[in-house]
Amino acid sequence: MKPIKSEELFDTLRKTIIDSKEIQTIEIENQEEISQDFSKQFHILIADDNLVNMALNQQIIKNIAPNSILYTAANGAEAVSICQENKIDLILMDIQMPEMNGIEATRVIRLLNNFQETPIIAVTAGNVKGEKEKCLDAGLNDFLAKPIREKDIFDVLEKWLDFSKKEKNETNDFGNHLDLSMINNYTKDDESFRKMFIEIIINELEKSVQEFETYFNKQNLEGLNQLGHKVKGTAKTAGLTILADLTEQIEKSTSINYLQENQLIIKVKTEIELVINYLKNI
Amino acid sequence: MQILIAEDDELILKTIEHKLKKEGYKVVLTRNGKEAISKIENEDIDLIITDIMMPFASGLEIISAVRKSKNSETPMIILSSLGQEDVVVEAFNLGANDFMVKPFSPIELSVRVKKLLK
Repeated sequence: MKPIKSEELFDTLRKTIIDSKEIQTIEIENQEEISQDFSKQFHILIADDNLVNMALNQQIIKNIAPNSILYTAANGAEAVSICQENKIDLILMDIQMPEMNGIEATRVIRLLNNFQETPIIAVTAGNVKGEKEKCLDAGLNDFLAKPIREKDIFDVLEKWLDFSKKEKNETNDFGNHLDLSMINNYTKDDESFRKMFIEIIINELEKSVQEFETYFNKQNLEGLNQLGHKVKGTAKTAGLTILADLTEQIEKSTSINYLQENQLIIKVKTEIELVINYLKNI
Repeated sequence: MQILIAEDDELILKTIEHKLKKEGYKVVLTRNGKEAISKIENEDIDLIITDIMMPFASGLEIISAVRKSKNSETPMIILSSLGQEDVVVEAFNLGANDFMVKPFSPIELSVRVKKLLK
């Protein structure tokens, strides 16, 4: 072994410490970049009847979030119909518009599926008395007063865009086994009910495994058909696409033989085990 | 205001119950058509929400029974599935007031309920 001089050791240790610090700071910086990654694909709707403002805002948003997909509406009614057909991450809503103003449009949009949480930012003239209160009451989340600068839009996007969203969706991708948008549809505004909803799914499925076995052991085809129909309904409501398909096959089976040949009961039991496992981990 | 729900899918039943209770309504839960018809006869019900395919008596049978009974004016909302358009038409012919296709939005349902109870 080579003898180590104290200076050398000191130098090496110091260097190591500095290096690891550098690595740490780089990691932290990276995390910040990831958490506010404007290069992600955001779907942003701009509602404004003034073409100049519209063009300016489009340009500013493209500068900040270059991969975003922009939707434009010239009045409130158009904004509503765009929301009915698209998944929107954020809305810039001019308040004074013809046809349907921004406040009325927001009221309607809040009633749509999946639009309870969507950030809607009011673009106001900034001098109309009581407008702010009306906006809040209608469900708008924040305000921008005209004239709008790039910095204002940057701040609003940084504050309201959900930068974690895409990642979450990726890690929660259960394919056709579990489509979480169905559970979210029925439970969106209510965390405690969501828990209860998932518990009901798990209970219903666990119960049905027993029932499938009992009917199958008794070779009770009619019982199996009816149970298949019932579990199919639950599976559809809960977004369990593969299970819905398997149970529909059981519902429509015309003989015990057919069930056996296609191993439908075993497949259903395996699928139920899998989705229960998923449901316990979301 | 008391609302009766007839639905054999426990998930949908509990979801509607939860939403309507939050809105301040009383709810009566039934899991098959026969139970629903007897509850409608014996309790004060201001509005009925019913599934179409159910054991013992279908949603259509419930509509007919209600429209022939002393509660013939009670507003009714039908819950149908995709591909049941024919049944929805029949439900309207029998006297249903409104319908929703599953999967539906609980918020939209509560808006429709509010409108029918006005």
